[in-house]
Amino acid sequence: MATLQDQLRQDAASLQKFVTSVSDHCERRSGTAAYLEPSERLFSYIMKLAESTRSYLTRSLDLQLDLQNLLGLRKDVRILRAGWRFMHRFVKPALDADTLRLPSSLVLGLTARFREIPGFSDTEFVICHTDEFNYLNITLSKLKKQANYISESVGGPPFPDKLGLIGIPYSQASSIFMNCLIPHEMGHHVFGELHLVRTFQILIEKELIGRLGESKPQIVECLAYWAEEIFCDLFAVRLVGFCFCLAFVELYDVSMILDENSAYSPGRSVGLTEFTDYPPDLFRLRQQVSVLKQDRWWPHVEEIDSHYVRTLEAAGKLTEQDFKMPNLFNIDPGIILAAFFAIVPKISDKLDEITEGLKIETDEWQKNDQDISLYLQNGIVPSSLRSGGLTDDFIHPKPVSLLNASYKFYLQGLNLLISNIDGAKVDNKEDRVKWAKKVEMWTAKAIEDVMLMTGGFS
Amino acid sequence: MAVLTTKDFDERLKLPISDRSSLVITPPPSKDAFTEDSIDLRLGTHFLMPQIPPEPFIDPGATESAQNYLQLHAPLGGYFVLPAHQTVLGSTLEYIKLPFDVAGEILPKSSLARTFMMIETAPWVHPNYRGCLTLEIANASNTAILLYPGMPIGQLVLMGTSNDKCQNEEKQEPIQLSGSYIGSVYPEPPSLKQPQEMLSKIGINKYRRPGFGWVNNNKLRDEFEKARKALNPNENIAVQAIIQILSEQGCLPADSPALSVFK
Repeated sequence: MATLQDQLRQDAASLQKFVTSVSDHCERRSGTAAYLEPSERLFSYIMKLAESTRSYLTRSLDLQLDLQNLLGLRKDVRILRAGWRFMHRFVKPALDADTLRLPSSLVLGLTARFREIPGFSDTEFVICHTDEFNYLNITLSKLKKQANYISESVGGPPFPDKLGLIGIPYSQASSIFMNCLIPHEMGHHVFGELHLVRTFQILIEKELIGRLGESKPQIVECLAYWAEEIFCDLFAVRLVGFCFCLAFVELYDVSMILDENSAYSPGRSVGLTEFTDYPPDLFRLRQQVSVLKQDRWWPHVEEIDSHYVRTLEAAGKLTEQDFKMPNLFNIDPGIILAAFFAIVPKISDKLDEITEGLKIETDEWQKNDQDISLYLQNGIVPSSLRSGGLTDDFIHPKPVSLLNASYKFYLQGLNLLISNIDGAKVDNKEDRVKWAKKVEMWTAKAIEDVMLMTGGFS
Repeated sequence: MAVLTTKDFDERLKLPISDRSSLVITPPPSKDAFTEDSIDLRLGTHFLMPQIPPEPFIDPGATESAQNYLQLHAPLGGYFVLPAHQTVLGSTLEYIKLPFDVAGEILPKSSLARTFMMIETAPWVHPNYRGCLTLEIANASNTAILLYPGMPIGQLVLMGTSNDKCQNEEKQEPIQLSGSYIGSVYPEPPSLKQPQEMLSKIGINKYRRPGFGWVNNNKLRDEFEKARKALNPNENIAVQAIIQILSEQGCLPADSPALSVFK
């Protein structure tokens, strides 16, 4: 029968094989694929951690260990394997998201904007693909915890600092407008980094005690989660403006709440006004509209001729009484909702506090919106406006202006572009798809150009 | 047809874009990229590398041309290796809008040409064109060449044309844009026409296709039509199914009239 040392050698070899198979994917990534710098950092970290794990196993097996230490090492091997199993989840989704399968320029532009938030000036984001049709924040704290546990056990490098992980649906790699939802996931990163869960849990506990005489952990957890989602929505609107709300309406088909006259129809809103494990879409939109109003986007948004905007308008007019929740906790849902509604203004306050000093881009967008629209209408990438001839006297609109102006153009100006194209018809679906895609490509190109012209690649 | 000079570039670049005579180049090249009679253009970040096709030849219109290329991206700051004796489709970094009365020609930078690299075999750019220019890059040398996106790769020479038709129209009225490759930001694969479409214009209705021999689509269409009329509805459905199978198996040319007659 094999000795404990022999069994351990077998287990260690098996673990090493597994670790190497993970790190090999990073090391031998396709020569034809390119990655953004944060992804490269993640791959490089995984390779170093794998090397440290291998060295640790070799060192440990070379030692003459007594029974107690051998048993300890066997436990270590098991825990390391669990840690590497967790790491395993992230490698392929990150490898799949090479620069051809990402809206690379948008990610760079959004990251640059994110870095304007005080305290986050050196944050980077690794974008991964997910097979869910949803945008996900990959809970970095769990990954970091596992990675650092492995690292401490094997004497490896610490997890790269200031790194966020975001998952985007693999099919949306080339879409610019849908990916305006990425800032919501950036909000989760802020929420996690600033430990806001605890902040809101304390506030919620107070509210519940005031109303119920006690605080129930299950309810606190649920309401804290709602608060996080609302915070991330508001954060996204603050960061990029109304394009986030339009993408939200589009992704979740919220415009179905409108009747044939583009008026709000409660009958069509079933499921969209009910708090469950998630805050309902219409409540989320209602809160987003409040930031649009606060940041002076709303008077301009209101004028956009689109059913997406009519949806926002309808959501903005809803009151707290329009929202319900089922009896999830055997406590009057009205009390729970009232406690949550009392927290909502505090979410906005927290947002204001965190984004204090962040320049709202409403004015910059307003100055350039018409020009960007005119460029798109003429089939031109809107990266250098109002040319000064051979001089450097150009206006390079910021990514936030480009995203909002282009989304607006996509909703109400596409017909103008299509009518400029020989043989294309505004009522032909295929033509609409083709030229909507072009508008997204021109916007992506414009963001890349602007990043280049303003030192974004330096 | 006069070659445009620095002064002309300056004047046309300053015009509002809705003016038909306006020139747009973005991202704008630095001032030293404008020489007396040309503008230096830089290499873009996307490439299409030709792949070994499933057939031992490229048959215009018969194969999906996009499938014959491997799409590659070298971000700004990265590089792309073009092996010896290889070709790749690239594009300019600059997106260009030509005036209605100006045509252009893109030529290789002389220093680059001396490394035996060619960038363009269809160098002419039509008036009103807008898009990044697709470059047919070929490394004719015996060694691999590194291509850095953002490096100067070609020079654009612009020439005035006497476009009387447009001169006489209202200047501010939008121009109808036409052409196969309008608005491209990345290199685009060729959109080749079916041989039948190209040849019938000059009266050639009968031509040879590899694997199918002589084809006369006009005659075939008549015969298929005649056959179809003799079929009852159930027979017609059965024939359609057979045609479908033959097409999927590659037993029919892509422009076979059987496909349109029995659709």
